[in-house]
Amino acid sequence: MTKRIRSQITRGSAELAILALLADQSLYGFEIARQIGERTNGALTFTLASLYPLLYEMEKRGSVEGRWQPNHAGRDRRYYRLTPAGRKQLAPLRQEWRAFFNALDALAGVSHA
Amino acid sequence: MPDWKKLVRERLAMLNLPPSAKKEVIAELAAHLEEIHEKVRQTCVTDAAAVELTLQEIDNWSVLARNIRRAKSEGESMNYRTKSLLWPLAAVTWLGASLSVMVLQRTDRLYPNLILFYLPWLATLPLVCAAAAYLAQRANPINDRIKRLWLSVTVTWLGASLSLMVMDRIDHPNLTLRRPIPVTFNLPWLAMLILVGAAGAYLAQRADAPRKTRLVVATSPALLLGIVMLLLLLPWRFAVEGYPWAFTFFAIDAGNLAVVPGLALLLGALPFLRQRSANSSLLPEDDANASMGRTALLE
Repeated sequence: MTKRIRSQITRGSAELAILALLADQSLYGFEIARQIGERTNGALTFTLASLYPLLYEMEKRGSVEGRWQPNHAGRDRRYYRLTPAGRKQLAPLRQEWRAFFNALDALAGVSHA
Repeated sequence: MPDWKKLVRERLAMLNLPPSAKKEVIAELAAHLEEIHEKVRQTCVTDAAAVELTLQEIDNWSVLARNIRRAKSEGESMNYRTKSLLWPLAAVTWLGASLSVMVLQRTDRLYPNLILFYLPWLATLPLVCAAAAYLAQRANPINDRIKRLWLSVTVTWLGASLSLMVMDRIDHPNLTLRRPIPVTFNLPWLAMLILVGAAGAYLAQRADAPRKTRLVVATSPALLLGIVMLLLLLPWRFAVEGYPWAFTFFAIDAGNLAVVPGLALLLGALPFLRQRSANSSLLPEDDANASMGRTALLE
């Protein structure tokens, strides 16, 4: 697998994870990382160093937007929420990944491994 | 518990972002580290161990700073300081040069020598730099795309006006047409305009400008001059010379200063109008490689 393909898969899967998570609720960085870790039983984890550059890039592209507001403990946190553009992006992205996994399954039987 | 904001600020000192954006990033990362620290503190015996574990979130602060800057900017290779200083400098230089041309064209008798002719313009450079430094402080609201296009527009305008200044001062062959109307073309200037048009279109292409914008940037000196002539020169000619001479003289001026130079600029720009913009693919190779240069997104 070339570097380019590998990086696109990594990047794409991370974006999908964030978009899917933010589709349900607004979350701040720490919560995004925590929930992704919890929901995937630790299979997918974000470190601070991997999360924020991606969040900022998604924000620049207009998929998400961040806003400071107090969390449940009254501390100011930057909450990210999906923009209409990000919401539009989510469905085709899900479909692409489904097709990708189906293809991989047909080829390597990954879902029954 | 450490002062996370202070710690992040110190370690991200090399982060080149506008001050307000940098402050926000520091606050956000500090808040994240604070929450991790609180969480790990519950399982650690000492605070020092908790801090150490928390800081394991970031392997390399320089890499993080670079990735954040790349994510926040629009993919430019130049850093914030360079950008914020360069574009206002270029803009003010262009303005200064244009105004100098207008003023100095009136002072032929005072400065007959070519070098002397440029001295007053050179003398304005400190003022230009001072104005640029002031504008640099106010550069934040201008978005990166406009800033990038400034370079191509500035190069085109400076090239066109400076080459005209030089060619006006030295002897060179001209091409004179007698029919249908008598027109003299400044051949060396037109030749230089081909290069100027090429440079403008090339830089606009590098700035990822669409084809139409590249065309406008490359031919902008002629376009603007044409518009100004139409709005100001034509009515003035009518007032002074009356019909039909106004049209004749206007046609000579427009042909000499707008249409033919515009064609020369366009000729130079042509090779760069055919190619697509440099970064128009969805996931350019550089970007993909850049992603690999970052820490892994999912570990």
